[in-house]
Amino acid sequence: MLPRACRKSAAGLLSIVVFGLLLSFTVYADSDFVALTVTAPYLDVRTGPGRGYPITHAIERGEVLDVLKRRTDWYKVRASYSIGEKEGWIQREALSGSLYADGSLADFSLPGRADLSDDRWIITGSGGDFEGADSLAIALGYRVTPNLTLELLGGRAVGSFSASEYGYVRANSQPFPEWRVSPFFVLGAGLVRTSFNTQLTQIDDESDSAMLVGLGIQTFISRSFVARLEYNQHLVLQNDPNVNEGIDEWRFGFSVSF
Amino acid sequence: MAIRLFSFILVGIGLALSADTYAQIEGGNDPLGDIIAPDLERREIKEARVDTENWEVGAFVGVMAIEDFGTGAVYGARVDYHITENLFAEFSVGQTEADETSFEVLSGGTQILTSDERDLTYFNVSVGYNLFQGELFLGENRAYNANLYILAGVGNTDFAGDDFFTLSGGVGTRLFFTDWLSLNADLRAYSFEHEILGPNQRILNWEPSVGVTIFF
Repeated sequence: MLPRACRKSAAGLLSIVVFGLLLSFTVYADSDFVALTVTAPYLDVRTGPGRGYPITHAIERGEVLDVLKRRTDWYKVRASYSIGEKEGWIQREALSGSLYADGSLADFSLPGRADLSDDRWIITGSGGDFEGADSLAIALGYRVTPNLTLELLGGRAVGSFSASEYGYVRANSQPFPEWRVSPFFVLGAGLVRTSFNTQLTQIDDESDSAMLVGLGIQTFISRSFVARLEYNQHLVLQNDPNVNEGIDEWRFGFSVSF
Repeated sequence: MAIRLFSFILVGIGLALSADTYAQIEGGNDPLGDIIAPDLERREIKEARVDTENWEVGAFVGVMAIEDFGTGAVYGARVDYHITENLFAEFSVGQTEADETSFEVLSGGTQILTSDERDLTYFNVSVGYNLFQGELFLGENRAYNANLYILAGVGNTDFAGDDFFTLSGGVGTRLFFTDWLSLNADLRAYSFEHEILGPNQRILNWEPSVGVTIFF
């Protein structure tokens, strides 16, 4: 984790970057749209990407749609008529069975778990217990193979007398990614920094290198959303006194892949 | 130590096992593969060409009432990832400055915290759920998509020179001007335990805010 002053300016910087992003916006290139011919008797078109939004239009069999974009399981489409254009959102499953311009069948069925190996990046947020202290960790992972993910993990644990910050590079191995509840194993190396409560003690902060082993289980809650429970054993290689300290940590969290 | 050694070995086996599984997939374990060549052309996956818009980023301003420490302007940023039409995950950061406690004001000059220690910075990881979706009408001819969501999360607050494990929760609403631009109004609460004023106490800080987000 970053030093305090640095973190503060990071929050400010992030706000500025986000404001910058707000000023820029995307412009469609017309030729990029996928065209679909509807084969279902009719399709409901809603104002927004959700079942709660009202249906304002219906598209009939044989009409041709441009697929503009997708949000979660909804597609924004555009139908062109002599009187003008209609835009709206259609649910993924409803589009299944439609035909592409070349007559081939469009497959909009839900991807299976196996297809998720297409998702390369995984962000995990988790919280738990770090030997009595409340811990919180965020990890960014990159899936190298279906079974192996490399992760950068940063966490902090806050107890009554001290707070620890840790950063690890971890190899996360999943021997059976296709299982509904899938086990994983973790090996990591990094740093653990401990600072003591300024109100209670005057002990200096200390920073030590550390190793980590872990195991856990994970399961899919929905597409690209995973719940995971994990046990980590930190081995802190202390300089002074020159002994190694073992720390047990339990964490529960969620992962998003994209 | 024996347990630690055992766990290292166990993880080592796990890693070796995973490398093995991958090799099998690569090898194509199909005995008929060479005899019956599939007569199908592999279809181009056109769906992948469709632009996805599951990310939402934005900035917000508001006020935060820090229990015992007055109320200050807060500003921050948020990044959301939409998992399903209802479920989303969020990372947010915010920053504000604490005011003086009543004690500090009345005692005339006594300071509990230094100026630096009055800065409050927090970050949170939350899970959100869109409860209500629908249209809101402005007058007779104008309708906007809107939704109302609830959030719960955990995070960290940096205040008075120390870090505090923080629970957060709240309710918010999005008003969509277009598919990708929305105006947000949130009411969130942050809770942590501290001993700054002596005894250990759990406090609840309220934060109403408004913000703008874009989807991309």
